[in-house]
Amino acid sequence: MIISIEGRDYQNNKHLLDQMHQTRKRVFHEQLGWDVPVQGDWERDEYDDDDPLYLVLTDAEQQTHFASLRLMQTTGPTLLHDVFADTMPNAALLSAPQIWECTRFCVDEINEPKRTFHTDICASSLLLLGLCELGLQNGIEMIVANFDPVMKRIYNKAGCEVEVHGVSNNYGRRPVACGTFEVSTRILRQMREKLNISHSIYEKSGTSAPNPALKAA
Amino acid sequence: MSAEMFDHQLTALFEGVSDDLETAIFELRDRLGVKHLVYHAARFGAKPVEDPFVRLTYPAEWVHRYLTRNYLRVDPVIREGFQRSLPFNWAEVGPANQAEVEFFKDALTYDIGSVGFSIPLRDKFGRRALLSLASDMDHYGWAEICQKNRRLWIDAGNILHQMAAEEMATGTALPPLSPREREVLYWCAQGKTAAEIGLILNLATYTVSTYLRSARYKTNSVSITQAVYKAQNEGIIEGQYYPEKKNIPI
Repeated sequence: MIISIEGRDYQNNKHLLDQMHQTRKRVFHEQLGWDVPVQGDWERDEYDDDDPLYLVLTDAEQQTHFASLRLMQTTGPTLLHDVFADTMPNAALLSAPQIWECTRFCVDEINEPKRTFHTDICASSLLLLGLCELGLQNGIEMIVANFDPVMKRIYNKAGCEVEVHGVSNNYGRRPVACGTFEVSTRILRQMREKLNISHSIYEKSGTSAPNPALKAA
Repeated sequence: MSAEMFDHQLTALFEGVSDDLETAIFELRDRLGVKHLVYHAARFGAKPVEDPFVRLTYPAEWVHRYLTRNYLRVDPVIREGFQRSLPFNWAEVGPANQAEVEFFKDALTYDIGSVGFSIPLRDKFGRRALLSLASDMDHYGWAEICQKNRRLWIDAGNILHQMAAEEMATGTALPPLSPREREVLYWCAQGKTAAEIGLILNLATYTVSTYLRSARYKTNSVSITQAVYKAQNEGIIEGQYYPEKKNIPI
């Protein structure tokens, strides 16, 4: 399942966030060699202090982190704005309530749920589908993201439509691309068709039954 | 609903609305057809309780009680709203302790609405704010209204935040227009539609709409037409000539 974790939910999801930061260190620091801050086992930067939203692919018991990404409103402080405004202004300066920024998209290769469920669909495709569902439920119409350029093939395979705005080679060993993803019912249909999934896979964390005190009114 | 229709709705909502937030909040409440509207900003950063900036339509008796009982520290909508980033229905915010249960009971006796929806807002200074709408509708009817109007409410909240930031004399540090946004506005000023601009610049229509949306937000406009007008007036696209060209494929 895919859940979103907001500032209010951090405390209850410490174990997932801990695994996420460890995976981020392995992926961005060790494998991609991006210039990211590392603290012990973790990769964690200043934007993680800002109560961002994390979208996490996890098991039904919500114990294991398989893949995740970080989302922030582009009306607020964003990594792409601060890091790529000079080199890729067209993508990095995008700012509007309907445009959100996705960074730190990573898959845990150790835990990747190859045998647990959705045997033939990779974790990144599932996470992208979850992202599209979350976007449609919350008034998000475009995602601007940074990613390793080789990922574009995976995005397209999952039914996403990506527009690449530029590639930077000054961020570490591997290049970083900035691109935008459309979020729309058309894309959702396209993704569900390609991945052969008809049901909803995203769940807002902490969504409880109607408040009894309010319902009584 | 298409982007153009949303644009039209937003323009209509703010047509002739006062520049003064105190007055505007009442005008918008009536136009939106909700019972109450509350704008609450943390003047500095993310802390909602210290020196907040608030404009609301709640009755004075409730505001008085709220302040004297120090409900700012109890109200779960405030506590959660400033830690969240997705818009949320108040039904998601359950009372977490006895103080909150008492707070909800008390609130109901002041007739301030039984259901609500809040939209977390953030600006480039890292300052956070919350726009809340309250109603007396039944739970399911309200969920439907929220679903239908969320897009408009989110835009309205960001415009109110901009107005508030000006009253706080700081603005919201809107980023400058990017080269692509200026280019898209230029073609818009030439009377081209998003689809035509897409053909000229070799971009998807959807991407063109995104640039226009971003340009609208960054010029603090309620419509694309206003954004074009402002950009022309400020000389941002005036006298520019953008030849038709092909996008560089990656």
